[in-house]
Amino acid sequence: MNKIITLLDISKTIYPEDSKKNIIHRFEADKKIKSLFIDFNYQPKEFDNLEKSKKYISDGLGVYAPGEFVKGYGKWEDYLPLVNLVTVSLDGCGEYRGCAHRHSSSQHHVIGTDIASPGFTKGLILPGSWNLVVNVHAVVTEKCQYFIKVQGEYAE
Amino acid sequence: MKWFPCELHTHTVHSDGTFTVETLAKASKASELSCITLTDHNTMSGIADITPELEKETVQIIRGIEWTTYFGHMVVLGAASYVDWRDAVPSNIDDKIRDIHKAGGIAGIAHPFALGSPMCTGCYWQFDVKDWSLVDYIEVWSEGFPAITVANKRALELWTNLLDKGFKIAATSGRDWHGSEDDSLPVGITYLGIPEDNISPELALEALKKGRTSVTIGPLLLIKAECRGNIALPGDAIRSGKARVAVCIDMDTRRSIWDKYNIKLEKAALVTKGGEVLIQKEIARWEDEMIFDIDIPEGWLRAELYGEAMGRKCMIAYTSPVYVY
Repeated sequence: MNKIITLLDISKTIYPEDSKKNIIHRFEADKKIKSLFIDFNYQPKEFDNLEKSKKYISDGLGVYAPGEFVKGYGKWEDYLPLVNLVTVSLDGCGEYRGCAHRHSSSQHHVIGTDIASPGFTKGLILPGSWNLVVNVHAVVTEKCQYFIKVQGEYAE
Repeated sequence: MKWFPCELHTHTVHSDGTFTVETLAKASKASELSCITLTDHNTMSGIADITPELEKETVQIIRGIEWTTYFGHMVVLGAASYVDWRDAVPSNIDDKIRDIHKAGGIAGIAHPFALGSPMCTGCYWQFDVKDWSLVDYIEVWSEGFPAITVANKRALELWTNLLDKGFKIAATSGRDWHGSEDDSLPVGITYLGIPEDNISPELALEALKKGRTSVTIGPLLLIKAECRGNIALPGDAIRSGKARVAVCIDMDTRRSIWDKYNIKLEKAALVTKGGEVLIQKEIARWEDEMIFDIDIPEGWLRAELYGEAMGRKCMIAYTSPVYVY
C-alpha cells in the first residue's frame, strides 16, 4: 500500500470582513500524486442571532430592492436562517481542477486518476505548486473557523 | 428556420444540484426540450459525464459553467479553455468577458436582480459593465413563474433600456434547475432559432450570439418583419418604414407540458423603443398568424404576448428584437 502523506493541515478563523475573499493555501507535490484527499470543515454554519439576522436582511433588502421594489421580495423571515457559505477550489500546474460549490460545511473530497468527487476533475496531481483556495462567499456569524487537511498518495 | 425549446441554466451534483448529469438529461427530454446547458457553479467537472449516447438518447448539452462570484452570477457557455472566475471584481468584468470571448465562449448575465448577500451570496449583479456590447445575453426571466416576479420585471426593464441605447443583447429564460421538483408553477423556456433541421451545441451558441431567441411560459411566439423584400427574424436588422410584420403563435409544440398552466391568451403586441406598444391586437380566438402592416420606427421591435396563467394576468411570451435602422 502506498504511503499517505499530509500536504496541508491547517485551521483558520475568518470574520465577516473576510467575506468575498479568496484565501490561498499552497502545498507542494514533489512527486506525482495518484489520489488526493481533501477534508474541509467549517463551523458554525447557521447564524442563530435573530435580531442581527433581521438587520442584515433588512439592510440587504434596502440595497438590492430599494423603494417600492422591496414589496416584491417577500418578508425578511423568508430568508432565515442566514448561513456562512465557504467553498474550496483547487488549481495548480497551470490547471483548474474544480470547485465543490455546495452548502455542506463538512466535506470530504477525493481527486484520483480514475475517480473524482463531484465538482473536481480526475487525473494525476502533477509535481509542483498547488493552491487549495478557500472561497469565502459569506461570513455572517461573529467568526467562523475552518479546518483543512489535504493528503496525497504517491503514484509510485 | 426551426425553433428548438431549450433550458439554459442547470445544476447537478457537481455543484449544489440533486440531478446527476444523466438524470438532468432525462428530465429535460421528458420535458420535451431539445437542448440544455450544463452550468454548475464554478466547475465544469460534469462534462466528463456527458457521453455521445446520452446526448443521442436525450438532449444536446452545451458545455458551460455558472460563474458564481462575489459580485454577480454569469453563465459562460462554450469556452474551449478555462477562464478563472475567482479574480472577477466589479472593475474588471469587461476584461473577463473579453477573456471568455477569446476562449471561444459567450457570457450571459444570470438573474441580475436576484437578492444578494447574505440572502443569496453574490446573486445580485454588481459588476460595473462599461461596455454592454460585450454582454451576449441577459437571463431576463429566471426561476419559477418568471412572468410575475419583481426581479424579472426589473430585468426586463434593464434589457429594454439597453436596447434603447442601441445595444444588441439577446434575452433568455433560465430555470436555475437544480433537481426534480414540483412542476406546478409555469416554467420559462428559451426557444433558439436554428437554420437547420437539428440543433447542436455549436448551432445553439450561434443562435444566442445572433439573438435568435424567443422566451415563453407557454406557446412559442415568433416575429417576422418584411420590408422592401427583406425579411428579418429576431436578431436580424431591417430598414425603418413601411413593413409587414407577422406575429406567429405555435400552440402545438410542447402543449402537453405547458397546458397544465391553464394559459389563456388575451393580446399580442408589437413593442418598440421605451417599451412603447406600437400596435396590439386582442386575441378573441386563437389564430396562428397575425399580420400587421405598419410603419416601423428606428430602434428595435419585439413581439409580446399577454394573457393569463394559473389564474394570474401576466406576460406569456416575448421575442428578442428585430433591430430597425
